[in-house]
Amino acid sequence: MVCYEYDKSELTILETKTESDYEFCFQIFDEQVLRRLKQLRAEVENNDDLTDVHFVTKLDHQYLAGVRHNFRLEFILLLFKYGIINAISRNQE
Amino acid sequence: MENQALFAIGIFLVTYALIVSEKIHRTIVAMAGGILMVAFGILDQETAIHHIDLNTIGLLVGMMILVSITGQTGVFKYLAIKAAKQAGGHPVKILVYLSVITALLSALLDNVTTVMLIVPVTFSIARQLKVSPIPYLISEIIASNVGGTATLIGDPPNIMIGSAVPELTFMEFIYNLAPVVGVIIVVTVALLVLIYRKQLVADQERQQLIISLNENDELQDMRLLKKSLAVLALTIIGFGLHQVLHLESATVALSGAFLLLLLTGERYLEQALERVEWTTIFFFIGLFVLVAGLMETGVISKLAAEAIDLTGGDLSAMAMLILWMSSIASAFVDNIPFVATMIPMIKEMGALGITNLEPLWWSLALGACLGGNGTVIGASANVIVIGLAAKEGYKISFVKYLLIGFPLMILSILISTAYVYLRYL
Repeated sequence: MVCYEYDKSELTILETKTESDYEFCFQIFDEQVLRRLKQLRAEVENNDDLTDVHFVTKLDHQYLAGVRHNFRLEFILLLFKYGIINAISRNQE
Repeated sequence: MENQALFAIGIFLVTYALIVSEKIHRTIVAMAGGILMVAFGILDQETAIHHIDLNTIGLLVGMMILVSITGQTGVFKYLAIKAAKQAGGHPVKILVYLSVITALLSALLDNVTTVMLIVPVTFSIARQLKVSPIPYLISEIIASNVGGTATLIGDPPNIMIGSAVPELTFMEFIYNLAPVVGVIIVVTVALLVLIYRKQLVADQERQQLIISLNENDELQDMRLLKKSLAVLALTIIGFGLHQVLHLESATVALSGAFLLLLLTGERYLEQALERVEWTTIFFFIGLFVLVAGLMETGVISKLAAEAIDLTGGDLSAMAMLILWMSSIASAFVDNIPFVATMIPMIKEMGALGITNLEPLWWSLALGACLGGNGTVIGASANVIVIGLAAKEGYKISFVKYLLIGFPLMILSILISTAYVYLRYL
């Protein structure tokens, strides 16, 4: 299990593994982070692979990203690139 | 038959076989075939260039630019999520709504673009509902091919027919094809609901999740959205009036595309031009030259005369022959080269004394466009959707699709047969 380190005053991230993908649920409290997440979204939605990540937004401003299994590592790197997470660590549980 | 004609037939058949085999990319094969026609002296370069239908090419390029920019606004995702919410998150109703939206968009945009815009959001919706996306994907394939049949710009065969026959204007296509397409879409979607209703079951909590989605967040750039939709609307009005304005449809499409680029600025220019499907454009160019070889050597005239002989010159028999032959052929081979060959043949029938060609043009349009629904390789949209599904881990095999697509295709051709017979014959 991977733990994500980020500023908890700005956002929360919840990752769950499903049969078909990893689902990341972002709750954003900071405008700057939201802007960066939207930039990340634009990047994955404008690449050549239409099915790597599926973003949807909920009315309560939760952002859900369904990430295909084989794209997870790349997605985590994008979270770093856009400054959404600062570090990751392996949870021993 | 002269040697030149035999060479032309040989090049055409080998090229066609290679396109069907899909061993080498169809664009490379079509261009090579076209070049061989010139290299063997069957056509000189001047004649070959003269046969390239720049109206078809311009229309395709113009629409590809317009749609690539409009797609970036998120409006298509907005529409799909809005529809899913309007359906109350009910999976079967969502199938109906998404199919209808796909059909409508396909009538105004090309099918491949439509499915590429709708399919990703379909995966999102199916994922939220925890249902298989396959029923939605198959319905969208079928709806896109049916919807694209309704207008001049909806499907490449119609673009080619509209370009080759100036009297068949944008409004003529709608007036003649939209009524039967409307009937076919209603019947098809009703049957798809019957087929898939048991697979599309989601609990209340999942349906509520769909209702809680925020479609407005999909609209990423409101200024771009307003500009894109305004220009798209102007372009479609332009198509409706192109005969009154004495403008070819390519002029209308390219005007729309470059007006939008003028309004949006340079930052979209390179990206928009990159997204033009140049492989498709060169495929068309190769085919036009290839078919020109048959025309210039008199092969097409002979084939037309044979077809008239076979049907005894009876218009009804000819229309039915074209409708059914084009639908079966389009189910198994690319409909673009087929239509490229049929157009000069039907024109030749006119030259040989068949006075009323209209039923033949509509039969060709209906057969070639609807025939694409028959198999997974029948139309480009099918191949794209099946490929995207496979990437997501959902395999839609040839047989699995055939069992749904082929009977529905035959049904649509039966409806078209009745329509063509009652309206034109």
